[in-house]
Amino acid sequence: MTGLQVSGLTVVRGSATGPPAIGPISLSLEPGKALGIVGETGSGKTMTLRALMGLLPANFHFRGEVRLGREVGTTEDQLGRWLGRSVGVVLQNPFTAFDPLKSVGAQIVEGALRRRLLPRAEAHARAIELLEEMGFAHPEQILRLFPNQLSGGMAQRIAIAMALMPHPALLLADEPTSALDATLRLGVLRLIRRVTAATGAVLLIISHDLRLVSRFCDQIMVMYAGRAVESGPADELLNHPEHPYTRALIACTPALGSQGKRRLASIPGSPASLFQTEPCCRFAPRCSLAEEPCRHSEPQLLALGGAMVACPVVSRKLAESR
Amino acid sequence: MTVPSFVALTSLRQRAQQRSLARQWRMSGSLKAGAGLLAFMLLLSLFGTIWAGSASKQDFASILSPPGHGRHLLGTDPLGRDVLAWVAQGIRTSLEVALGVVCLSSLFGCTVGVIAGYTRGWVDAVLMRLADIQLSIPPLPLFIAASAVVVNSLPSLIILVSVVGWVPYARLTRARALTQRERGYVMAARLAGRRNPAIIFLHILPGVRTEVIVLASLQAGVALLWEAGLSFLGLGLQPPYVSLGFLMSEGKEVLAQAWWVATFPGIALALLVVAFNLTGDGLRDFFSNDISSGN
Amino acid sequence: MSAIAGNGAAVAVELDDVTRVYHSSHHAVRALDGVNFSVFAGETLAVIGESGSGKSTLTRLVAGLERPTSGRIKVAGEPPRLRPGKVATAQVVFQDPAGSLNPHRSIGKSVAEPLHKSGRRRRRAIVGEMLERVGIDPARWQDRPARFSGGQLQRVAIARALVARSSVLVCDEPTSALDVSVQAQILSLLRDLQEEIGFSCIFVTHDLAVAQVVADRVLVLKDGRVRESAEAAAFFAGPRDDYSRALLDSMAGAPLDQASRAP
Repeated sequence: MTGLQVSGLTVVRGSATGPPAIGPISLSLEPGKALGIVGETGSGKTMTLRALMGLLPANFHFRGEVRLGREVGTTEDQLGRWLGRSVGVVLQNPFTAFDPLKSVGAQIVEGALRRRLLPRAEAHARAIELLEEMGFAHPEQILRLFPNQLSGGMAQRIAIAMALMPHPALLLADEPTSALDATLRLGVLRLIRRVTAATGAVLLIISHDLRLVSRFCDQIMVMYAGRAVESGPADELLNHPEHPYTRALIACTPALGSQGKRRLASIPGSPASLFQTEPCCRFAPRCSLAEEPCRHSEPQLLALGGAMVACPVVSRKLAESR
Repeated sequence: MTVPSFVALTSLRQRAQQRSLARQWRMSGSLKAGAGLLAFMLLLSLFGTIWAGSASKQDFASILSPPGHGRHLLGTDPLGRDVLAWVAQGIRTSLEVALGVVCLSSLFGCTVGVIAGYTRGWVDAVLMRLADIQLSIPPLPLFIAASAVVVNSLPSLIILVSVVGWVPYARLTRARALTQRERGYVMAARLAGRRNPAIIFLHILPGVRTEVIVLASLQAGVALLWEAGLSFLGLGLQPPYVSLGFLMSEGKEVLAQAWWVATFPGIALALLVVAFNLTGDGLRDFFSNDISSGN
Repeated sequence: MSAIAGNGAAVAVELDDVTRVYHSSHHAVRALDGVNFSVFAGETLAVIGESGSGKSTLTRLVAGLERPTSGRIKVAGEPPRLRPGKVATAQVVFQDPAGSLNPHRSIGKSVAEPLHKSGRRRRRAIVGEMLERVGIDPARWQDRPARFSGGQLQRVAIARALVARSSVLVCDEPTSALDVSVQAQILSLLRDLQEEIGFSCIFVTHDLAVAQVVADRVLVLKDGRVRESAEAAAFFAGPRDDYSRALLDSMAGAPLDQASRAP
């Protein structure tokens, strides 16, 4: 497996001309590595995920190229066919992954059997093996349970096992721990990370929680209004954020530390829309560094230190200071 | 944005595509058909009365004449009454009854249901037992008994059929009220010191509007059938009132010789019921977004 | 009329051995069990708990929406009893901003709810002023909730709570459903308003980091019982109870200036 390469992933709405709703997004991940895509509501992170799954809503169209291992996909249909084979998905609400009328056991093996990836006995054995890895002491008993008998943490771990059944090269996780109690979150993420690192799968986590994602991902990409505004190694991004939005986001995220009751910094204004008719920097209206050119042209992602940053102002200032 | 549910991942794709199609059909299909058919029936009724005149007029020269014969487009009945005229006026009678029944039963039923659902406690218990009692009384014996006392008039019939038809509204609105009373805005209204009647009127009722409309359009068809059925049995509207059921009852006596007397009112009745059902289904689809989002 | 605590500070909310039991056909659930605590005037008490801890029940009891099975609650010196016609002493800001506003009514009408006894002109004036104060354009008072974002709706909900002029505000996870940047705005707004108006606040949350930003004092709930009650600074420096410590550990994780990659 040679990991995941995404080039120029773009999503447009209908036959709209003008800037695309999302993209172009490019990323590259080696097998066993993890990328966290961080953004708020309206950042386009979920739509990006849906594009990678080949499941965009009816009026939206995908453009770009995705390479996974030895396979290449340039259309939604092609990407859609990878689902359940080389791509596994874990969603936010663990209970929506299950059919309430079927037993857990039946559902874990369902995908593999339907695609004739494994004969029944082997599928069963693999299910047991995966459940053991998920930390269940008695996998046989779990297989007999029905979804309504599961707690949130159990359900999510089983959903992960389900996603991993076909040995996917890519595991997509959309806010996999948001619906769980805080005490369970670290455990579940640790689990996902360990398994994907061990199998060499690429992990892509979508989240709004920068703190959480920073613990488990090698790289982070910050999205705003459909654009990747900054991306780079997790350490770099957290310790030396360059893009004004990333900085502002980190500044207004409460973190346990030495400060007590205080007034949090906040970003003025409201999040920008994905659908704009004119090219511009989408963060400009809320940006303290915004200059005139920012309102008329889209910033490109440029290398800055060890990261990529889409802000000409910051890039220029850093170049000047050298 | 949510990605849909537990179905195997391959069919997620199909569902994503299906949803957009469903949205396109919202205004068409059933709703258009139903509304169109209703409009057609109304026009038919109007035309029929203009062309054929009064329904009670008896043309002794042409008793039991078949359709197309001379002036009587749909034929005449054993007393020489023009079938078209009768059907035309009968449609209007049916619609009047349906409207009256729907208004009365929905008003009463919704009031009972909302009060029961919001207030809960003993009020809820009493009102729901009332509904249960109502449901346990077989309508036909009730009507037979009532016909002995009740006068042959439109209001009486409307009241009678409404008595039998209010429970579905009560059940529906009670269920909705039960969920709505847990909503944040209802609690906020209580915290603001609003009295119960105001809360029910401002916060509970608007939330049941669309479902009641859908139910009403379907119940209209039921009311129509009761009206016609009762007249058919001789319990409902008798002449001088013009009812489709009455003509069908006459027609059954002469079915062998004069098929048209029973058939045309029967077709008209069927078309009316179908029209209301289509409209009800269409409205349900039309409002489906509101309903599924919990309104 | 409010009780005075030993150190002279007025007590805005007081819970004395409060228990709330829910009865269903099969079993009884003790949502709250012997809960004791006080909130002093003008301060913010953060109530920290996971799901099932009883924090929602606590909100309802303090607001007067439900009555305790046993024990005494006092809000501004009196038991919080909801009486039709009387505005509640403690107002609530709920977790789901869209669910707390009637989708069929304009936000102006919703904000004016506590003023239902006043004349129209007075209502209009107060609503306009309050919307402005919370950062919503007063000209939009006729718009329906569907036309606003989650953060804006939460501001509207706060405006409604303030219009009631109560001295106690209960915020039940008010920012859990909001984005981080919007959360920051709402928390700042609450802080500014509290400084201006001086209400006492019970802030219910499961997020310890948020609690640290808002709290003067902290109360930890688990399974309906109080596990710890302390001054905020002391609590976050080192909680005494095991459960509190476990919570803190599970959330402290990587402060943003130091990332570590598991496994």
